[in-house]
Amino acid sequence: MPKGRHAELGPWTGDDFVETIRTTSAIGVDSDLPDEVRFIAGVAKLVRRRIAEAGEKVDSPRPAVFLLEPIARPHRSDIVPKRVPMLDNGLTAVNGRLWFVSPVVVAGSYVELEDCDDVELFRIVTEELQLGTVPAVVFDPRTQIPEVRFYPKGLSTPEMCEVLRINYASIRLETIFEVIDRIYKTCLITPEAQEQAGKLWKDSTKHLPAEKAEITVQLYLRVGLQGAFPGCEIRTEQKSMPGRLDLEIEESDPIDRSRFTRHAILELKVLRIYRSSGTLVPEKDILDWVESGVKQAAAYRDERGARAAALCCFDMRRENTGEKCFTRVKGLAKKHGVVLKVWFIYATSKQYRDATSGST
Amino acid sequence: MVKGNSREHNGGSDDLRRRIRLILLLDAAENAGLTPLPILNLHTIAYMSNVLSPVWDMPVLEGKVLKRRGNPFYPLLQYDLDRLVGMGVVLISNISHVLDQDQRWRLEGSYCLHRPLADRILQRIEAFEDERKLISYIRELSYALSALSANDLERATTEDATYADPIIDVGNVVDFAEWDEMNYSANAARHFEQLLPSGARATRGEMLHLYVHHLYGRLPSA
Repeated sequence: MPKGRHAELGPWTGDDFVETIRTTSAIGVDSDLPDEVRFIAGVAKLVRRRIAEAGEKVDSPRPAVFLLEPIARPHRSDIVPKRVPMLDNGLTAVNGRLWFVSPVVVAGSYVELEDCDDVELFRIVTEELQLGTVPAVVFDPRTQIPEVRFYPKGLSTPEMCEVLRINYASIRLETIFEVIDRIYKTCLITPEAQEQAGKLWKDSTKHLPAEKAEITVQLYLRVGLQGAFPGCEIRTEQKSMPGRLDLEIEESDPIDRSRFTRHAILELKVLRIYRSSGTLVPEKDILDWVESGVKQAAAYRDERGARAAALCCFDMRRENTGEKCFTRVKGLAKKHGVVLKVWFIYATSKQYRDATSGST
Repeated sequence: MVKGNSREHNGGSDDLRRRIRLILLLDAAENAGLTPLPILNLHTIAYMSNVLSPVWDMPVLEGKVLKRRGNPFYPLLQYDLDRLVGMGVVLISNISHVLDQDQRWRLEGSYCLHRPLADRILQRIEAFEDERKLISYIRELSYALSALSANDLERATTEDATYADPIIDVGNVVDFAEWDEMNYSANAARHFEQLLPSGARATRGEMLHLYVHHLYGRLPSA
């Protein structure tokens, strides 16, 4: 806690800050993530909260359409959009309305959607509003399990659609690994797959990882996991008694944040043969990292009351030796209930092609 | 931290810095769905961007402001805004005259960026690392403040932890980063950091949003 002058609260002294936290959705945790990821998470949390506040059967059974377009544009001149502040409190019905929101869904403007079918709804957005290329999320209350559909290229490209669940009884590690597999294949596997601003290699031809390779891997995973589990908070670098954990997947109760589920702790390790300075990393050090990763994952899980823990290694060494890096710690991991997983980062596309064609 | 009367001390560079921040404020307001932004709300957001900047580890641009009966009002910001309107970078709409709470007539209007000109300026600004950090801060703050209605934003400072300090009377200076460094608003935002029920630490983005939500809870019903 801050002390001295930094702790003084002036006229706010004695206020109930904890109550504000308890009743406010977790907004802003993702402020360093891309707008589209925040948009999906914002809508998912709003819908969860609305259902929790009003119940599933109270609101209109018609879809709600959210456009990532903060300035409202009605499709008819006789329609005046209505702005709703504090939209995130879940007190306003969202169904049957076309919403204009920013990436952070704390307010929005809406116009009522007349009793139109799905084709007409898409037509209004794409033809009348000319907003068919704006990223959109559609919440359809007619499905049995609440889910949102994300159209990253807008409603003009309906074939590009991602269906996302927004409530989770539990998130199993296998499901998390499937998401990481997708992130790995699309963003990490080779230097070409990595974004220009998020390169893992300083010099891939020499197997020299970038100085901030760990942080970069962590950011890729945060973005991917937040997109996959939009109703959750993906927290990073939380200070904890055993140190600083890497990633945790947490799900708050939509209307009472004092109730939450911490689904998993992920401890991340980048295995490398060279430090970014170019000095060689001895094999023993690498195995020691792995061992410390197992112990850290178990300690964080126990301390944070998480349901599961995993050590996720990203192997940037020369040879893909699979799970050999875990040989020394398999017993330890089993004893502590830590699941082990490794992904190999290829230094070149050629190495990847050779490996996948079986010619290495 | 910028100390003293920046305009007197640093001349042109401070003029430029203020105008850049003004353009960034209007850009962020548009991204948050707040434009066209009424003049008093623009001054309120400018004040909030000053008083809460320590939460984002950003320097305070103007660490003091004269306490008025209504909103904070920065004469220099208004001067810069008028110049940007004259340059065609900012557009004004809904122009009228109103009698303010100090019984003085002033021009009322709502502002937004003129994109064809402003976007070129924004592109240049975004090339600088420090400015990108400022952009991320002002955007998040604008998102947080967009949770308020236009009316609530207009009266937000009546409950702001620093501006509403009853020890400072109307007509005196609210000083949080010039000669005095007592900033109750930043303290209150940071106070949230270690209070999350899950034991997690609030991020700086969360702190801004929680600050605004708490402030909203303190506003009397309109």
